[in-house]
Amino acid sequence: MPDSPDIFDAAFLRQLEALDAALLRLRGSMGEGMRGGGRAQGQNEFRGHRPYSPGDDLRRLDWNAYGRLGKFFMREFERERAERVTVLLDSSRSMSVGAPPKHILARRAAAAFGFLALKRGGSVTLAGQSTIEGVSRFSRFLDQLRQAAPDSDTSMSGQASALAARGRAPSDLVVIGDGLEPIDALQPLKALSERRTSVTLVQVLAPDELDPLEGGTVELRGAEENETLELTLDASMVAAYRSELQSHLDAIETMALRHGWTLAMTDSATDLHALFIGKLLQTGASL
Amino acid sequence: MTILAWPALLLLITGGVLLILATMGSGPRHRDVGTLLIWKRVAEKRTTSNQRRRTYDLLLWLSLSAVLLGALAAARPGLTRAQPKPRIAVFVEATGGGGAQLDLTTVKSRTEAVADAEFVYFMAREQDSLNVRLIADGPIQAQLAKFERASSEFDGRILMLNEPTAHSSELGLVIPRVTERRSGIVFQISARDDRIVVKQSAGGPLDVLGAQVIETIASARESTLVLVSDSERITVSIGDGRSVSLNQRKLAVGIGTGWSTQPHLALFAALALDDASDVDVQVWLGSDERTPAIRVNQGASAAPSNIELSFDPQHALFRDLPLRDFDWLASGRVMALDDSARPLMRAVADGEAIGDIIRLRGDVFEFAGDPFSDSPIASSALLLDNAIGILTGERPSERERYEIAGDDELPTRRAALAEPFDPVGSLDLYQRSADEPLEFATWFMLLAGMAAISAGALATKQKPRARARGL
Repeated sequence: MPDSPDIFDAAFLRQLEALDAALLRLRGSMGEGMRGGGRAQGQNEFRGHRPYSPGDDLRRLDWNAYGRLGKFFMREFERERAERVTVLLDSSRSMSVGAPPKHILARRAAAAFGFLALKRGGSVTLAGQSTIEGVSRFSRFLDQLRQAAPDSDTSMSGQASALAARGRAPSDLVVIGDGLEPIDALQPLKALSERRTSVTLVQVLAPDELDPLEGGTVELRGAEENETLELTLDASMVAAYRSELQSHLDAIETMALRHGWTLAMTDSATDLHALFIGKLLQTGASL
Repeated sequence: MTILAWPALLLLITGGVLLILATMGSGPRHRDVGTLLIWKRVAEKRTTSNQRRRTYDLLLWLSLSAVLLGALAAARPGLTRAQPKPRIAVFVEATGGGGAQLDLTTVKSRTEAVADAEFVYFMAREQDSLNVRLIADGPIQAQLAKFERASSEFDGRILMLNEPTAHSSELGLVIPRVTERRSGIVFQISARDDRIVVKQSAGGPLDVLGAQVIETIASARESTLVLVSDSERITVSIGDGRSVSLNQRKLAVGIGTGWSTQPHLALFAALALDDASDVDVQVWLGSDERTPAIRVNQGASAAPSNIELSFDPQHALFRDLPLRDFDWLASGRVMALDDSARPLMRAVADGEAIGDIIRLRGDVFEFAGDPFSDSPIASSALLLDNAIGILTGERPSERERYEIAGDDELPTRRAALAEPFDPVGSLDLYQRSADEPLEFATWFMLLAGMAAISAGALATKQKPRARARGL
């Protein structure tokens, strides 16, 4: 799918700079779970969750998770180190739909993750592409992202399986996609997290996917499957869809909690700042 | 159904537009989604899955129904019955005796020429060719009164009269019963003694058999003819090809015992009585066994001294009778008092009744003596004339000599003298409102309203956002 106009224009780059500055300011005012140049060496970095065991430090209990799931989870941290971020971008055709299309926010988010990693002196690797180091080479990463148009037959789970099959698992894996795949498609991520890969899952859904409209009989054309399905989208059907979608999202969240993933779900109309500051930062993502 | 009514046309056009929209919107619309993963799960849980189902956008169809029903209502469809013809009652006065009618075919055509209507004819005799209601024959005013009552439910009246009557024009249109003046129609025949008087409408000769016209008195409209005859049967042509027969009327009198003296026979001849056989006898003179009878010398001898007579001189037996010519006690007889008989003349002595002179026992006159032979013949004839009149109901001296044979009836004077005249009155047809046509507009409007209300309720129920954005 041609990108016209360029989704990584100058305004976007200014957004990245502003985002970086905002994160630095927030790091200065926050303690645990944040890292950065202004923070003392040896301070812990939030890595994720694990189930609570007797004798654990109760100060690390995640009360938000307890409120939502009714179970105790411990927040885990690791010592700050040079960030090597691997971005797994869902380039399947399903990312091409939505208003705005999901792939725009997905690719911009991927660019942001890369930009932040490079700014911190780390590296960024787009899954299946060469690793980029040095912020001066950020434009190459953008080029890789421009090539990652959502017209690929490669599924997100396939890319994750390829990563898991590698001898060295990535330390920080950022998965950006819609997550609208069978829950089994996340199994490779489970394997990676067991190999101490820090997994951040950013789920981008289109507004119509979150809250579809009623509209009589509609022929749904699935971009992913290249199939059609005719349904009468009356109120009960839409309600059933919402219920089913929520069940699917709950299943992903449960898996994320279980394996210590950072999970953020947003709609494609959300701007970058809101995604990173409002969602990812709040969920403890290592930014 | 006024399909060209503007409201109906406008609504129909609106309905057409809605129909087009409905047709256009009936197919499924397309919507792109990233994946069918969730949708397939939903569809699997619902039975409506993959089969295409015809779209019935209820709101659209309800709106379309409301518009079409409204158009139908505006067109005011209904079942209208054919305008009923007015019903006219026609009184047809008889032209013949006993309600007989002539020229009924012209009656029908003439009434139909007056108005295009359903006619019901009122007359005194049934007719096969017409729808007739009977009105009892009688005087014309009585018939018209009955007709007025019987025709009160009709839309108009036509009266075909031989001659207009007073106030007849108030009932309706009065037209002449006949189209030509009638002539030579006999409407009255009377006979007395040997004279027969015939009255007929002027203009025609009288055709008669068995009698002679001895006098004719003619006026502009009618003629009176006097006939004489000694024939037993007279035939008179009364017009319209009809004739009546007059039979001589005889008073059959039997001669019984005690009635054969010379004065009796002279009296018999004076009254021109006809001797008759036993079978035909209407009254017996002197018979002891048979009745009705007039019997004489029924009393016994009695002392005549100091006897007075008691009777009612106004009794029919004594009408016009010169009583001085009669010596009721000449025979010296009186009849013993008998409570079973009605005394007409009684002998009284010293204030007490001692016997009857004349009495009536059933249908038998009993005379104590014989006044018929003891008195002057003229007076005796009057007494006998009165006595026979009482027994038979008709004095021989007054009875008509001829009577019309059979049941033939003469036309009325009005019928005989009928002639054309200018119609009077008017046929003011009462404009009956035709039965209200069975209209469906109300029902269609009601259904349209219900459809519109349902559509409104449905529209209110739907999410505004969904309606606004559509797909």
